[in-house]
Amino acid sequence: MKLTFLYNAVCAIRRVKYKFLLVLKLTTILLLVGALHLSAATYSQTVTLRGNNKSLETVFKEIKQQTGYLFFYNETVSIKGKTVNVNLKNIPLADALTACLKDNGLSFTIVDKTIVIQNKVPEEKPAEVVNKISISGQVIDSVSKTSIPGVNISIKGTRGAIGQSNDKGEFLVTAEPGQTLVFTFVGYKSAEVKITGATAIIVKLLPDISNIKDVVVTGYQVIKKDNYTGNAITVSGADLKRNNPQNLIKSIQSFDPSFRVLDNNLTGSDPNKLPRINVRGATAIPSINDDILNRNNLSSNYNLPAFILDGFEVSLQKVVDLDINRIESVTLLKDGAATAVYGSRAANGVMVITTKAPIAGKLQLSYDYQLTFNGPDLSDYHVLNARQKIDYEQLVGLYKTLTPTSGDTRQEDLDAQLFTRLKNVASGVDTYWLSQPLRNAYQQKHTLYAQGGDQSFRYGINMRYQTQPGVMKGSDNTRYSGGVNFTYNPSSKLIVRNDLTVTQVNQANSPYGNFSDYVNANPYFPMRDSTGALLQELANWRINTGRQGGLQYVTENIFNPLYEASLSSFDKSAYTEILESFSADYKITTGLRLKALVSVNKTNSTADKYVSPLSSAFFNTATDKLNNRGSYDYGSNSNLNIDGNVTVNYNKQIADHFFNLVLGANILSARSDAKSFSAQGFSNDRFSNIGFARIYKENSGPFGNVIKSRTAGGFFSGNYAFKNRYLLDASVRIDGSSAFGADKRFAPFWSVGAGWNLHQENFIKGSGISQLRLKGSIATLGSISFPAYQSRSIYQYQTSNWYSTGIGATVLGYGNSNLEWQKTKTYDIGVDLGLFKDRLVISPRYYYKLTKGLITDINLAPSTGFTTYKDNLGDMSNKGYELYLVANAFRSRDWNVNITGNLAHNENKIVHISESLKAFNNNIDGFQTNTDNNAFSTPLTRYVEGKSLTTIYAVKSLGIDPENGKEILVKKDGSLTYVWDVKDIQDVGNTAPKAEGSFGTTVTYKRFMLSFNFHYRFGGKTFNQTLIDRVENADPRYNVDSRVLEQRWKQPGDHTFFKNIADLTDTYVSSRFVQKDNLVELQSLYLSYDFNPASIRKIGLQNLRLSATANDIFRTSTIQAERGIYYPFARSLTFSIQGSF
Amino acid sequence: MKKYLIFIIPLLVFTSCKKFLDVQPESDVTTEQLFSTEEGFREALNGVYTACAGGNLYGGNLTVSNLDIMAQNYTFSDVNYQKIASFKYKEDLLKDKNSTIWSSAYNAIGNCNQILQVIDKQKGIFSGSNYAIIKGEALALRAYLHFDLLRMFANSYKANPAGKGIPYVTSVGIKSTPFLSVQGALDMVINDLRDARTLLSGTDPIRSASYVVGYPNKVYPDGFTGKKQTETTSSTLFLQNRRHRLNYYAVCAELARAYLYKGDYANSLSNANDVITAGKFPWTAKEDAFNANVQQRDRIFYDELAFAWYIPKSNDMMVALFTAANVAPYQPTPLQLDNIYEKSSVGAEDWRYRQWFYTATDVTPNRSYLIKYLTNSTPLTNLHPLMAPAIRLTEMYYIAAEATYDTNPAKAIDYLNTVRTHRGIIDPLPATLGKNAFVTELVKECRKEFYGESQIFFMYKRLNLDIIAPSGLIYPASNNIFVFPVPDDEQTYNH
Repeated sequence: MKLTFLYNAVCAIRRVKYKFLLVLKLTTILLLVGALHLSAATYSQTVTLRGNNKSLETVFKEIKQQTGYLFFYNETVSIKGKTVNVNLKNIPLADALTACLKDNGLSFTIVDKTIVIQNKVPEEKPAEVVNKISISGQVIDSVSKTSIPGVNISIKGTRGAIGQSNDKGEFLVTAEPGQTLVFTFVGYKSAEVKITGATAIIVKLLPDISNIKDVVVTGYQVIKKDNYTGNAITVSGADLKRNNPQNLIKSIQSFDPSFRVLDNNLTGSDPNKLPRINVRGATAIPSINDDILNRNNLSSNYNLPAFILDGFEVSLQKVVDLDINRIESVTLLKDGAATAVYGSRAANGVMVITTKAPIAGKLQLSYDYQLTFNGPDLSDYHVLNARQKIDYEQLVGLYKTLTPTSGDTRQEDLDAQLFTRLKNVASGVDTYWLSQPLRNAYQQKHTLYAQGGDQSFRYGINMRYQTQPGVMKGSDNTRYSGGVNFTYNPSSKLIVRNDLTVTQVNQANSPYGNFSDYVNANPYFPMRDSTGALLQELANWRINTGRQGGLQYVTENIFNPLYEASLSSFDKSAYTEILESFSADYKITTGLRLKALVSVNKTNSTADKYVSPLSSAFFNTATDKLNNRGSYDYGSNSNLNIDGNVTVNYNKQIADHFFNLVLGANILSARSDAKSFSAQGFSNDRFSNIGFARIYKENSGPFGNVIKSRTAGGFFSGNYAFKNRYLLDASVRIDGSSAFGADKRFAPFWSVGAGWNLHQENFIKGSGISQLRLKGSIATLGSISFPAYQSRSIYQYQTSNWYSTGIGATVLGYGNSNLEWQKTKTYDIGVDLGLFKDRLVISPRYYYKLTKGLITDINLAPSTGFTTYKDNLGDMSNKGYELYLVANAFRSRDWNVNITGNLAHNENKIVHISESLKAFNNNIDGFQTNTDNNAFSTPLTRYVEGKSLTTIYAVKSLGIDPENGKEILVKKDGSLTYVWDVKDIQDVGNTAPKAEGSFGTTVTYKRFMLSFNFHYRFGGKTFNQTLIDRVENADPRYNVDSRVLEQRWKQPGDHTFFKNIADLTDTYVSSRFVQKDNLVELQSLYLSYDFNPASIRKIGLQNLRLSATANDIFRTSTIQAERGIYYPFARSLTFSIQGSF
Repeated sequence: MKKYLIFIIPLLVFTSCKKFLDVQPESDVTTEQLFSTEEGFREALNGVYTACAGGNLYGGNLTVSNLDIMAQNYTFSDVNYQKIASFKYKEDLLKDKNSTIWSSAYNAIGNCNQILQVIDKQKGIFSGSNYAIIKGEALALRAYLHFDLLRMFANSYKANPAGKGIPYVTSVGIKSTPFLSVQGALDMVINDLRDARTLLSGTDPIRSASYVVGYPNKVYPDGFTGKKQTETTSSTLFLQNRRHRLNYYAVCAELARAYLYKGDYANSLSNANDVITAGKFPWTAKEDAFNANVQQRDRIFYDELAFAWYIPKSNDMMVALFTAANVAPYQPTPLQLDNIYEKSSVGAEDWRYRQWFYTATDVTPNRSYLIKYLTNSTPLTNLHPLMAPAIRLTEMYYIAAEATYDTNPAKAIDYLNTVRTHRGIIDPLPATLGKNAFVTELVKECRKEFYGESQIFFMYKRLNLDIIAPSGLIYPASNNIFVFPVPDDEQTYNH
């Protein structure tokens, strides 16, 4: 109760304050009653009183002794000096009290075991007083059996409430027999109780939305799942948290196999990298100007689903940084019926997130603490030790001059190098570089949530502090957030809700640089010199580049990556976000509601990168440029998004017809303002402030870019059910976007879905099939994640390149004012089958998506002045199936075992593409063969009609010829050759798996819960980059995978995977390295214990849960490849304690 | 009433939608925004010059690259450069470079057309004579670029006027323009240039008597009473340095070039004479060409340039190509230079031979470096900015000589001797040279003058002369060596 002040502060509204005091008073009474409850039961319900001029105080004392009932009255009731003459024997308590009080101008009410004494109200008509009786009782949730505080109680046919339930759900009201009490509360169906006598009653309220799993939240509508023809997966926040308390996005993919977080083998578990997501395959071809040559860089931004948080669109970054404890539920909408209401944004699915709304009642505080141990996973790295490495170097002839021409390193120098290294090894140098930049990271999270209020005003306050240091030293992500939200319903017709959240996120990248530098570092190099100081340069190589003149020989320095980390260089970024959203929900008549929502999202971010003048990057700086060493890059970005929508919802049941209709409009305006500049010339490692910079970076100027985009749309969506049997969903939407040509801004989108609840038909009822639903939908959808001004002709100012007569502006490209939306047509059919009272539910789905009018570059005759322009040309299809299974395998009083599993398959196909993309393939050939690009050993993306975006392109290989250790390659015409030719590159596999998904079990035993979740995939192919880059093409000057010493061809007759060990030529991309990709990994393992509420109530707690989650702790794959090239992957173990009081 | 309100709100949202969605960029400029002010037109015009002065066009490729190599001015050890010098047009290296030249030039033409397609509608917003200047220059630039493309990618007019020319693009859009014949394209060039000349004749500040050509960084001696340069004195930056843009005389000179290409000697001569007799471009004084103070030395004969591109951004490239120690790829052998400049007969005192080259004798074999484009890096400055010469006064003398010879040989030889005199060649040509001897002397002179400036290739092509490699190998005059193949992209997509 010490926290009362908090409550008062919030309840500035007088009316609320008044109610609060009332609640408080009754609380006091009832707390006392509760304490005496057990002993009071033995007292009698009749009283015996005798005596003249007895003071009322004495009388009350005697009654209390005899009945155990307490007396309650406030200071306005004066009993001092009031006396009675009584002679009563075994008279019922109420009669006795009436007798004692009637002449003293007092009245009484019995509340449970408390007698409340009041002054008799003079204007009250005696007749009414006589007829009214007291009714006490408790309101509970019919499902959870928990009490519901703040329930409004009124008498049917009259206006205004006559009372409310207290924080334990208990109430006391007076009414006349025969009247009907109506109990109403937000989120529950109202209940009516007819009064027969003055008895205690238990009122059970049925939740209006009885269970999250039974409804679908589309963001604009809440529809009963039974009546819905769309394909939606709804997951509660608690389930998500259980699966992965660290990462919401990763957690969701266990629940929906079509929601895929793409592996990023480069960035591993870097806490500051955004995941790449794909829902039911890609629907866009990236612009060929993007850096998409490498499959790892294949931008998936265009394929991101739309994220809708409490009704408005947010960025992926926002979702990643969201506090998982705040999430009420997440709904994934994938097919047309489900997503059409979002029209233009929905081609890649929609993820609807709702956050928790405050619950009324006494102030409730809950606190959640998480501690996560994060450890790097190096199980895929197998590098040579110092001795092995030197042996290997000698084997490949690193210490022999090949061409003893004048400029090459002399043999005696090479010998000296070898002996120095051998000496190092002999003296015990065997540096394990891999572990140097790594650590076990301890991540913490504190979440505090306070909520309370009554039915008309409820509030919630949340605070979060979360640290997420990564497994590379110095890489860090810290999040702070705080929010206040309230709902206010001044009348039963209007609900106002306001949320204000402020988030601060600080990110730092590891000063240790790329992990690959440590993987490459030779183990025979010591980290420190004899004095213990870190070495900067470990070695240098003189290399013959084969070029002419002064460029023929270059010296390549091998730097100590640890030295970099010892400097003050940093690379960090931060953002502050203020998110304010306000909504009003007005009930016009029964079933008809008007909702308006507006949200403002302001984000300011900054990025600072300082490279110390002592950094190895400036090691070879020319002597006349020494004053330019050190650099600082600063960038800032300010984003303002305003999102508003208005909807009219109509929800009505007329006989057997059920309607759920919504008509609405929304607008969205986004503005991003980026500025950046760079400076150079630092004198001192420690003086890292940008103010110490000497000049702006040479040949650079300040940069600024403002991007504005707007969309507006109107829509209608209807859901209709007849007798809960025949279902129909339909929606139509018109959307406009500023990104498209002036003539093509608006586009219509629509969907139709139909379903049939067979289990409602008589011929199924009672047959053991508890649920059987057939459904299907067709829709057209769009996507708008495209550059803001591509439909306009834009002039660019040559700011850093003035002509002698002034600045010049040149046109950037041809703005195609006919550019229009790319549209995706989706077809979806599904069955929901429930058996044995839904203890087994199987839901298969099949879908086909055809995206038409892909926005791609179209080649032009260069004489037009432009080489390409953007137009809608190209089609791509995705088809696949999904299967969901939920089984309640075992259920008893103490035990409950649930099994879930899902599976998905997607097939992507490029149906039609433009000439420029075909020509692009030729450019790719050129890019691949140019060794300067270092791409000859990586399969690059190509665009071929009939193939997939996930096709692997390489030259077909038959393996290594045992005769000579050379690779046998297959030319396009089928003939065999030893010579690799880029023209022979063809489809050699597909990374898309035959199927992938998750399976898991949840077991509860009394208060224990254990659950685990596996992720699997099989039937796909992967190009094993490690085998080609780190084994076969391994640069012997750096450390390599241990397999270089094994499985290499050494003499005729050897049947090996790898080619001749003495062959130092580069191996180009071939199908030899394409391997089966089958995988099973344990994504999460969870154990929790809930304390018995009765036992912890003594220490003031309502509930207390201890839990532990382990993520990514086990993995088995058919591919042995190094994972996490720039940043290693991590395993994590999270302990969490959660309590509320 | 409340019920109606519900439907009015979405309606209101819709009515203002169209306007709401018409977002104007802030950090970028749309065509409509740019061409709503006179400044915008100026910036768009400057933009064309910036584009032309870039490395893909006159700041690199079209001044000091393939054309110059094909003129056999250098001796290469590098295989790639040898391929260029031997006209291997089918090699990827040449294909890529030609493709870049083609698309960059048409991109610059596209920028001209952006201006030309709206300038007449916006005539009212211009002050002074800026409308005529901007339109005139845009037309002239369009013609200048097309003419050079025609001279590269089509056969010479002399070889076949009806041969396949180039697309002459005069509109903005994605619809491709058909190829014209050489004659058709050349006529379009001449038309645009004539229109430009008309627009500029009464409006170009360079025609005013107060416009005096000279070095911007010249330190005039105390008591200097001559005319000081006024090229950078205009308070409007846009109207300074007329010779860095296609001024009236540059247009006349370009017309002289075009008429000569067509064999129209009369028109060619009259336009060349306009430039010669204008008296605007003084001969370079010997004390400027040989000034002991490197900052006051003029290696490029700046005052004689009727038109040149401002290319300070190309400095690093010039150093890398010509003067970088040990690795500069564009080097003639000293013997080659001696032959070109006729050291053994008249050339030993030629200013160009003495001032444009530096021979390093401390390496074997000896190397020569072209130092015509040498600038002194900051804080030292040159007498004038780094320029890519486009049209020289001397070229007008050469044109006049060629156009006059048939009617007045003595006058023609006099034109040549005038140039030779101002280049330090003491011995004049005899006034009685036969036609062939005259042409030989003219080509030899041009070769000397245009070294490192690419124009000589066009002369070989125009006159259909054999090209002789330093080794003595002869590439016979033919379309095989003179015509750049049209890039594949253009062939494929120009329907």
